[in-house]
Amino acid sequence: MPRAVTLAERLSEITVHRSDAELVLELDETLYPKDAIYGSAYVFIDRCYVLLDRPRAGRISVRLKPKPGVTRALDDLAGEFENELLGQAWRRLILEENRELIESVTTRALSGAAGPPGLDELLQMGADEDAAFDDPLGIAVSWEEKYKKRAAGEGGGGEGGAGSK
Amino acid sequence: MIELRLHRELYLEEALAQAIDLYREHAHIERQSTEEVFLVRVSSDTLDEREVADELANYVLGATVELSQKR
Repeated sequence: MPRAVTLAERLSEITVHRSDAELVLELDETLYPKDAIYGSAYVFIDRCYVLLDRPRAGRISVRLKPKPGVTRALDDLAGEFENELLGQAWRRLILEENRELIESVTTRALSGAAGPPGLDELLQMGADEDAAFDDPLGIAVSWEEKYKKRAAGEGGGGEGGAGSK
Repeated sequence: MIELRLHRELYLEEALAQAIDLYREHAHIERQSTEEVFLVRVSSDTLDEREVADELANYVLGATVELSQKR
């Protein structure tokens, strides 16, 4: 029975064509998205001439030719490019997987930085007068109202406070 | 004369236009387009054509990456 191919093995499947002066890496676009290839190529344009091409559908080739004065061996450059490519692809994968969480944290941080809502914002939140003055615990009842003298005939002792004395 | 083939799916036309504007003062540059690729022909009497073409290609790639990130 054939063994299942792991993601790491698939990611290492890069075809390399090498000549004396340059090398060409051929990549599978389903494994390495175009953005990851762009990111890696961008890192290398200070030391190599980089040319991208599409040899066939779903494949992107990257030609690396060291600039004059660059002494690194082609094999080293190929290895560095593959490392960079793997890092770029991995970072994008992590970003995609955590996009919702990142957006949620950012939104909360930004809303916190904006400070408490002002009167205009509170009014815009749609709280109508009934909802605004709904007071089931009686917190908004004034002291005078709560402990006012009972009308004659209701009995003397109010509960606690000045009215009970 | 050196001919560069820049695939349309990988290079932005805007980036290529920027590069041609910049490198036109260093070499004679002609541009043609097909459905698939931009063909750029670079020739110069005074400079190394290969080097100018390679530098131009790098510039187009860099500008493509930068423009893609802004979009």
